[in-house]
Amino acid sequence: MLALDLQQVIQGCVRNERVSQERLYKEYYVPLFCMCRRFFENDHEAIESVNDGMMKVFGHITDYRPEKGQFFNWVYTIVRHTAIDKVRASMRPSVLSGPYDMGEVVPETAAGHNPIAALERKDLYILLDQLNPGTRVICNLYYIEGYSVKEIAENVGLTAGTVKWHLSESRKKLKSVLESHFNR
Amino acid sequence: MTMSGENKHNSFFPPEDSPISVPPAEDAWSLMRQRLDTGMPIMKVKGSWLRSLRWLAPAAVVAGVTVWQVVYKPLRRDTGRVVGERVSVGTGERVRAAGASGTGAGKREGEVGRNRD
Repeated sequence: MLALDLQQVIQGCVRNERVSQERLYKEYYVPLFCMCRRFFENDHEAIESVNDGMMKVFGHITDYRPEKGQFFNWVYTIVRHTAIDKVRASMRPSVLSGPYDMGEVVPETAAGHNPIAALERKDLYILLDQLNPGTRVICNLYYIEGYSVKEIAENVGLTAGTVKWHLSESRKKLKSVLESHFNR
Repeated sequence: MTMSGENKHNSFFPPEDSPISVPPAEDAWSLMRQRLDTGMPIMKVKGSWLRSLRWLAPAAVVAGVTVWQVVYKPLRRDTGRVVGERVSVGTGERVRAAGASGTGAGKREGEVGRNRD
């Protein structure tokens, strides 16, 4: 979407015009769906999450300030926070909180190397589907969304040690997937 | 977290290169539209009376100005003439009020005061 177009579409959304809202929705639908799909196991939940987030976007579109960043990033951040809230609300505490607290053990990222970034995009989803919902969310936030352990702990409502435990679990469970990938 | 540091998202999964099968946007939009219709309904302008208000408002202003020109302005001119004079209570004689142009106004004012006493 051209910059001028985007401004017109935003103004249309401010006026609550369905045509503008539809254009904006369809423009950002694919990246937002892909992001939400990494949090949820099925398409239905992912779409629901996108729509929850977009409702907030349309409802608060007058709050957007261009000086704070690109419009897409503003939308993306709102939808992602909505997805995180939905995950947190839908999960039993036992799903998210692991049995062990990793204390000060630092996740093995091999001096900043992100093993997931090396995967094919399609493999990433296969890989995430093998994890339990809690670990999946934390793995996604850490390796893909680029959150720090502290930020994940604050957003998901866990201790830093539990977040590290989930990251450790994800590496253990996905070892075979990663090995097959790197041996290719 | 700042939004400025998150510019990667657009390039991470470019729409034309979606890594997974994405349900049709049309289906997702129809669900979204239902939610919008419930949560943020469109306020439709009902009837033609609101549309006619667009013509009625300027017409009312023009009518108001015309009435003011025809009725109120001449009245003000008349009032201005009357303000300069007062009627003496005792004699019924018209006198010029203080501050009005003309000579001997003060004297006549005094006469009016005495008559009241």
